[in-house]
Amino acid sequence: MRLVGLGQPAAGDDGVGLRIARAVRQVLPDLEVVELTGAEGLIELLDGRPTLVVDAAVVAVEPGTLLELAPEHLARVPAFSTHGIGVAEAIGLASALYGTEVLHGLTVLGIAIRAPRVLAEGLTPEVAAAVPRAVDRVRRWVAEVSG
Amino acid sequence: MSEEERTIHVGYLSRVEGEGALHLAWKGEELVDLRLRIFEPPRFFEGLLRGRMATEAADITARICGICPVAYQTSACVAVEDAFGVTLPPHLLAMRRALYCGEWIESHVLHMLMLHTPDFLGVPDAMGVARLNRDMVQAGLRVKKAGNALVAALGGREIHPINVKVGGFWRLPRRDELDRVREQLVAARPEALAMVRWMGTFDFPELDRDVPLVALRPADTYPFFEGDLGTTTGLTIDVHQWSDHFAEEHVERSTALHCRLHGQPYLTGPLARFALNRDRLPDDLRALADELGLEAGVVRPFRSILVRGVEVLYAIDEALRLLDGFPVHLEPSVPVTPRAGVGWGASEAPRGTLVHRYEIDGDGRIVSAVITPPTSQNQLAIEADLRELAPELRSLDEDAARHRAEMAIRNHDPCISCSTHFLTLERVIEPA
Repeated sequence: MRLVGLGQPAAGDDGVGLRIARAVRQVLPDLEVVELTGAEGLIELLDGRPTLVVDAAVVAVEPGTLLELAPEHLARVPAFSTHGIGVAEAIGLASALYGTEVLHGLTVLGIAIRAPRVLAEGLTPEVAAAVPRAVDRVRRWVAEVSG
Repeated sequence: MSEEERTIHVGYLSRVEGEGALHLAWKGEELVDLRLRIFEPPRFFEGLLRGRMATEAADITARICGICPVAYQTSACVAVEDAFGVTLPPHLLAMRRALYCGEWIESHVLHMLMLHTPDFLGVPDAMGVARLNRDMVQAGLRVKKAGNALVAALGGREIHPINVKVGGFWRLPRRDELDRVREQLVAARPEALAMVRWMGTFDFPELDRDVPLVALRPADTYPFFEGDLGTTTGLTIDVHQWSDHFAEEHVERSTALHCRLHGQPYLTGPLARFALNRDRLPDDLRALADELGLEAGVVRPFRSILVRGVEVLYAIDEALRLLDGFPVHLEPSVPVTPRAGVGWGASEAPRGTLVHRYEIDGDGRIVSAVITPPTSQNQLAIEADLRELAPELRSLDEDAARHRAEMAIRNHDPCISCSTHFLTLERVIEPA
């Protein structure tokens, strides 16, 4: 199994996926943790192994809310990511190129943020507060997949 | 509201970096307003740089863009080295150039295959392209991966490289690292050629533009960060004289600055580089350009995808040439001694010329910084393209008008900024 943290560290809350990945690495040192600054890296990464992708999601709910999404729900969240191609598009491409089986075991954990407007490092308090909750969710996911 | 007074909101423009809005208004048949509004973070980085060590500029400005960090690092390094009077030896210039090749491959293939090809095939996104031609998308991804590998090998990692510094690099790659990249580039070469030939079969809307073009034009090679600026109006401009020829202006509708050449809009980027440096390309790529119908002296924005393709091939060939026998045993950098002064640096980012200017004090700290990105230079030319297309944009139905406007903007791959996302198109038609 594997955790993928996705984000843009210079765009404020958009970096929360990377922050969570680093926090998980501290508490679950045996888990494979991958950090990506662009969703495109997912295309070649997805291979049917249990994978949890953690990324910021610009959605109209309270910032810091955790959103668990199955891959088929991602198309409904078009504003999911930043550069070039987004998470939904990368997952769709992986599926179109290599077959739907590469999506088996894939879960996406979104952390609601407001659209980043300023180039700055660091999280807002409400999104930073979501990091420990997300780490707990990752622990439960690991237990569920292992169990 | 009558049919002649429609206001149409046609959603956001996807597949462009950044966020903005395009407003078009007609009175009868006459176009009375055309505004491409860009919401760029107001020069945040220029302020951030003041008081920082000039040697930090490369790493700080690399964060401006997730797609072209090498361009920011290179222009910053060249400018600071200019101020400090540092000259790089040939092997470090070669490595800097090879790293830049990697960025062109990464950025161009992403734009060509994932963002622009859907326009030509009439599909909404890259997934649609994959459904129509899976083999080509897989091949294109392998080409892009070779570019990523080149940036990772020379820059330390694929995105926001960490190995670049004023005076050269922190370390040189090992021979085995270069050998692995070389294998990927050699394998990517025929796939890139097949990709651009395939793209050459697309139907291209006709649009010939008469716009001044600006790009670096070195004496004997295709440009990355070498030479003076050339223009199709016949000027040769030492970048130190930039301010004598170019002026940036604030426009109320946009947080971006708009840059003019002697008061006129102009274009930088692949079309400009190619037009001004076609004679610097090797014979086989000039022949390929001919085969693709890229005529000398003609600016056809909708064919920019093919020019990018030629540049991808050039970048692969050039990286292979530069890395062949690269002296990995030499020093990774030259000593740098700070001194007060002003330095200028220009380089050819994938989407256009990127100019940095730093004023530096005697301790090596930045007193002032000016960064002129390609998009602020190209915005007026993009608007001019849209003005040419205005009659068509008025007459087409809503979906077709949006599609054509998006396509025309994407011709220039604007990187509006990396902080925000979309562009809204508004079309207003009032009676005469």
